[in-house]
Amino acid sequence: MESTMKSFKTTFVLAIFAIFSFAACDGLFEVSNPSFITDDEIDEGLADAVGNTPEALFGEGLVRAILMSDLIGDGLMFVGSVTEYQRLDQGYHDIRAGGRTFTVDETYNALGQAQWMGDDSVERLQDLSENPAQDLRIARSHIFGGLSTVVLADNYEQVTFDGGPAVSDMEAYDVAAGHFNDALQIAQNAGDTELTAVSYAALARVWHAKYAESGNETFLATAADYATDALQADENVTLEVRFSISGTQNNIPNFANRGQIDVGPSYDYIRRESPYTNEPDPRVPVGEFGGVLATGDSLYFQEKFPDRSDNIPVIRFQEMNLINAEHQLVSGSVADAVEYMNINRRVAGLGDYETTDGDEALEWLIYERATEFWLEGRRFQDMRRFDLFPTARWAGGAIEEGTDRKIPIPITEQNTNPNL
Amino acid sequence: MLNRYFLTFLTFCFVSIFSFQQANAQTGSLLGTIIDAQSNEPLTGATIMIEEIGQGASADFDGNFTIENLEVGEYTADVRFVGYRALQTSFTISEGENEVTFELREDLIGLEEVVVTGAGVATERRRLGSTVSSVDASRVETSPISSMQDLLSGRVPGMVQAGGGGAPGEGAAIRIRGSASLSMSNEPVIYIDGVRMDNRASGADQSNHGLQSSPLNDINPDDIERVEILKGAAAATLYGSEANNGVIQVFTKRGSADDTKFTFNTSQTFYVPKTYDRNYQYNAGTGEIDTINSLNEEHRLGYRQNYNISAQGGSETVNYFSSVAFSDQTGVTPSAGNSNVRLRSNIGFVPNERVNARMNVAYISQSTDYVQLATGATHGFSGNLILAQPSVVSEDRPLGEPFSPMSDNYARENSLERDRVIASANLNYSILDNLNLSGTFGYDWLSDEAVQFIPFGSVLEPTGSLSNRIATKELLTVDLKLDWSSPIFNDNFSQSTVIGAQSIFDTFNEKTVSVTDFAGAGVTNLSGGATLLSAGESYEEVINAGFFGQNQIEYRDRVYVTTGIRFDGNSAFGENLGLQAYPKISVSYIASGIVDQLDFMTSLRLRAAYGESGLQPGSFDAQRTFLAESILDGVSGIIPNNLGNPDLKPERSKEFELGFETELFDDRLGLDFTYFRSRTTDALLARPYPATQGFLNAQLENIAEVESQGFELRAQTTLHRTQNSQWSINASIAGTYQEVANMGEVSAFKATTRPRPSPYIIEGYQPGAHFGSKLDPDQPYNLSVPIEELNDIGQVSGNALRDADGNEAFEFLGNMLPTISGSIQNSYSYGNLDLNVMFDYALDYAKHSGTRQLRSQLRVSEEAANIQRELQDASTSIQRKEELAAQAARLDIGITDNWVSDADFFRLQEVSFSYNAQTEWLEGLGVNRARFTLAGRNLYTWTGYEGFGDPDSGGAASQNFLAGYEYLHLASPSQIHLSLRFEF
Repeated sequence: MESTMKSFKTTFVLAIFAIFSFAACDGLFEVSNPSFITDDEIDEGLADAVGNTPEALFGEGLVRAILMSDLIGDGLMFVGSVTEYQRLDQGYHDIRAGGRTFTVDETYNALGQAQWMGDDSVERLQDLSENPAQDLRIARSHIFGGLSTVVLADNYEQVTFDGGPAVSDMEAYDVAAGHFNDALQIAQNAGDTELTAVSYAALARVWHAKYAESGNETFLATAADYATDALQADENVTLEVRFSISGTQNNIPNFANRGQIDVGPSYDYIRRESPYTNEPDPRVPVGEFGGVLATGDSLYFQEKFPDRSDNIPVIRFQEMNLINAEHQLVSGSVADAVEYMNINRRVAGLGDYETTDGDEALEWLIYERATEFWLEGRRFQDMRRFDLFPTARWAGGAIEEGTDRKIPIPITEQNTNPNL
Repeated sequence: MLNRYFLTFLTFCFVSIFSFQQANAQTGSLLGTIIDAQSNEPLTGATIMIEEIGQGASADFDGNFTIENLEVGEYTADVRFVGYRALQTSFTISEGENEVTFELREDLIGLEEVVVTGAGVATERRRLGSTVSSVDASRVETSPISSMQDLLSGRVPGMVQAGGGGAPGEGAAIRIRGSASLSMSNEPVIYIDGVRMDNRASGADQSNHGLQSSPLNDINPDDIERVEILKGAAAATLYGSEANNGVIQVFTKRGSADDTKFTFNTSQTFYVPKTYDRNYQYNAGTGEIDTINSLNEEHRLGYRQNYNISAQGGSETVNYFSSVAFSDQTGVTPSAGNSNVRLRSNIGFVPNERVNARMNVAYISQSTDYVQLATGATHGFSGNLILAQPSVVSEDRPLGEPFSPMSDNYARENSLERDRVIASANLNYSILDNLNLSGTFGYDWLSDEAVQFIPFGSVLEPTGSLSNRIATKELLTVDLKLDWSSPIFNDNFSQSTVIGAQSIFDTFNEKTVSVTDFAGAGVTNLSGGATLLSAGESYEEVINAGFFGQNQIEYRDRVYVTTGIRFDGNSAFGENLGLQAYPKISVSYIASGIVDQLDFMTSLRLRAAYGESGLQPGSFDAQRTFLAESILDGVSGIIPNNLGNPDLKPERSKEFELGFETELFDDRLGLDFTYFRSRTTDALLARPYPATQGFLNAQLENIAEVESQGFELRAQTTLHRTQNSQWSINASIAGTYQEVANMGEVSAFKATTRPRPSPYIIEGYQPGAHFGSKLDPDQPYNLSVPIEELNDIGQVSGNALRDADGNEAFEFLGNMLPTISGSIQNSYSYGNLDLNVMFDYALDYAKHSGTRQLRSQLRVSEEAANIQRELQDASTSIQRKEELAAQAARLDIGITDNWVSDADFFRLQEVSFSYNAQTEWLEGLGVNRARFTLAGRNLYTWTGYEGFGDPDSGGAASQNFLAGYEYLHLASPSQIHLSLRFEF
């Protein structure tokens, strides 16, 4: 009995010891994860990386948006056998054919992520920065986060933020404008003219987009004011997404130059002689592909982005001129409108327009926008507002009903977002 | 256990001396014989212990023993022998010689067997309320076994080895009672002598239909003493957060206090390739069908030689077992082979009666050249030969290789070099007679180097390429246990308690690099590649630590109630989660009351058990992570990667088991039956989140449930037994019925990213069940031309069955894993001859044959070629064309059902014939025992399977739900096995 008691005591003591030594092993379950960075590990040393991320994620989304909207629109055509691209080319907005990955979903997801990353970067940098009020990294995060929202609203009927409820495109543009105003404030505080100009230009772009979607001319006037401010701050105002082979790639040459996605007769402006110059427009550079459709029309490669490290411009002084031109035209000042357009034409090495006719000037404005912004993801909106959709496609396939409207929020977002 | 025997032995020595000194009272001697109750055969080596005096003896070759100088009176004897039920009986000693015969009955159902796994300490099986299966290696010595998987195959009811075609180094996926997890690995955890072993499958080509090895096959089967298998949560509770898929524990041989025994055995195995269908092709020029037999022509006889030497023995204080094994195998396909060297040394120390220590070290070096099934989808050995076309035969391509010349394929390398060390140290210390402390420290280290090399000038990669993958895995086990047993209340009750703690540290590091653009022929190393294709590194680390307690109360050797609990903490759990508790309770009842009522029954044990266990998430699944990478020109960024889930828990299985063991009809029939029902709750599924929340990868969440139930029945019967012959049959059947019970809000999904296979996770069906489109039986085909113009198979497409909305109906096409499986084993021995025959079978499952799909697509199957020939024949009638169109519709690759076929099989898995040589004529050579065995494995399969190869070939071991898919896979060859074994 004594030995039983003794062993019982021993057991008890050992059990208590075991439990306490276990509990005392604080940090026993801490493991290293060298392949990844955790939330806690994002510190001042990584602040630059945080500030650059929105640009890269926006770049991913932008490339997808360009391919998607130009397939739906007339910028690109698809002559391969992948059902999904064929259907997009026919104007189907929301299709799940062939079990492929879904361009409209992926575009939304990439831009949605970039938009979140913009907000997240701003928030993190406000904690990490020594002087947030003048920190240009925060300003750039605002710009690229806001641009992600602008491209989403340019293409989709509604936009969601952070898994929240859907808001209209107009409300989304206002959110983006808020970002650009914040960026402007920081750029001005820091005395950075370049970024000040970019912020104004971004505001001009977003107000123009609001005008494009609503037809409200006061929005266009606001856009023109910002465009003028942008040009005053920097007459060559430009912002490009910096792609690189070792990082985020400009995948347009990858997709578009394999003989499947081509530039062809669907795009009216190819090799079309520019008015007054009798020359091909250098703003639509294409290469001979040699492919010929059953209709006898030739196919071309795009040569605007020959390399996967080519940057894609997202803010340009030419756009400011075209916004001003449109504003002048809508206000009835045709001569001023033509002069704004001619500034761009001279830069491109083309001859001037000359007209006093408003309708003709509008046609030229549409041409100028189509060639200036070719493969920059802007055509879909113009096609919608100027009613430019063709009635039949290259393959004779019917145009899907509703091609001329924006894309609904894609299925993956609808399935995953509890607020939809 | 050893400890107890050892103490007994010491006691015996002391008592012998003591009783000798007092030998002046009236005494008698016991002249005993221990025999088998049925055959009356002597049981050499059986032991007897006389409880009153603690004196014992063991039976000699004729079953006899003698104990002298016993005081006259009544005694109780405890007689034991391996494989027999213990006998407690009384006898009387009178003055002079007393002849007593002790008859032991065979323990058909193994209730007396001592098991270690799952019980905390060594325990007789009858005390446990949960099932522990075991395979005793000494009972399968004559079987043709060349790997651990051969050893287990067909011998564990409820365990299925899925896939694996028997190529050198190739292993199968192991599933015990089905697939409990939808997202995590379903491979059981493996322990060897108490130490965790890494259980991840590995191969040269992990991503591209490559063959993979099973980690279990690293162990030399000749070193094995026995294997214990825990099948589910009820039995495996004490293994905590990693035990949902079951536990396999391997015990290696040990030495004993005996003269050194050397064993040499060699086996020479010949692999006879299966004969495949020829390839057919319609020749539009001649209007005839051309054939080619390249696949069969390129096969050869495979050969494996295996040599194993071991020594075991020891003294009272030190014992040892050590072995050296070498094997070399050439596959049935050129360039495939495997060679390995395996060394083991197990040393035991017994410095005093309280301490007992062991040190085990094993080293394994394996080198495997895998057959290249398919590289770049169809290139490779089987891609080119299974799809060979007579029309492409040329000087370069004599075999009709459609993708790349065979010479090109043979020049490539696809190899895996593995080095592995498993070491352990174990110390047992008896603090008191009934209080023991034991500790185990174990380390498993392994390094894999995989090479995929394509030389310069290859058709597939004209400038060549080389990929290297170096993986290092380390597993550290630290285990501490304290056990204490004592009587309680009164003599009718006793208790035993175990408490323990266990930590496992698991790390995995993998580096990959691949280069291309060699300067020219002859360049074979990484530095020769001008272009770096990719370089990467991945790392995983998991720490699990837990402690457990278990208590067993025994009532009069009849009722045993066991309760236990395990608490676990784990680095992979979410940060909001504390320790996880897994409880268990089980009851075992020796129903002697019932047995007394029933004449035909000699024993009955009833049992019931409930237990829970877990399965941890992946190392970093709970963490919110970002990937730092180059994003812009010379600029890096922080890309959102894993959303993270601070509430991430282990999956939890709750299992209930009921069962019985009984021996009937004068011990001629033993039955062991178990019914189980389990539910995996908190099963992990990847839930996609809105991209606007920043993370594109789906996040694992504990939202799903999987339900399983089933039964396992094993019957052992001895049909015939005489002095020198015996015939027994051991049959088993297991049923496992599983369904995904709940998927949270995640919709049904395909459980692989590959385009062809059809495993789905769908509520109400087995995880990984085949789903897809089916032909409309009323109108199976559509034609792109009018029937009268039909002249090409390509003009026919299958017409899928449609649902009410006009969409292709999505139909259940079959289970991925068999619901019924089992084996029938016949053992017959006559004198020195043994004959063993084992059949195994699996029912109610289906397999998707990607190969058949491809062969039809390329029209190289006999059926496709015939249809095409008839369609091209202008004289074919319209009516016949309709029949042909219906046949052609069954070859439409887009209709999933066309390629999924029942895979039920019944197979003659093992036949062995062995001769145990008489000792006399070998004694001159110093040989104590010799045995010659001629055996065969995988000799014949009865099946209605319509796919290519065997119903059980194909599937990648590392992929959860690809076991039901075969792609350009070769069938397991038949084996002829000659072996010789000598004991010195």
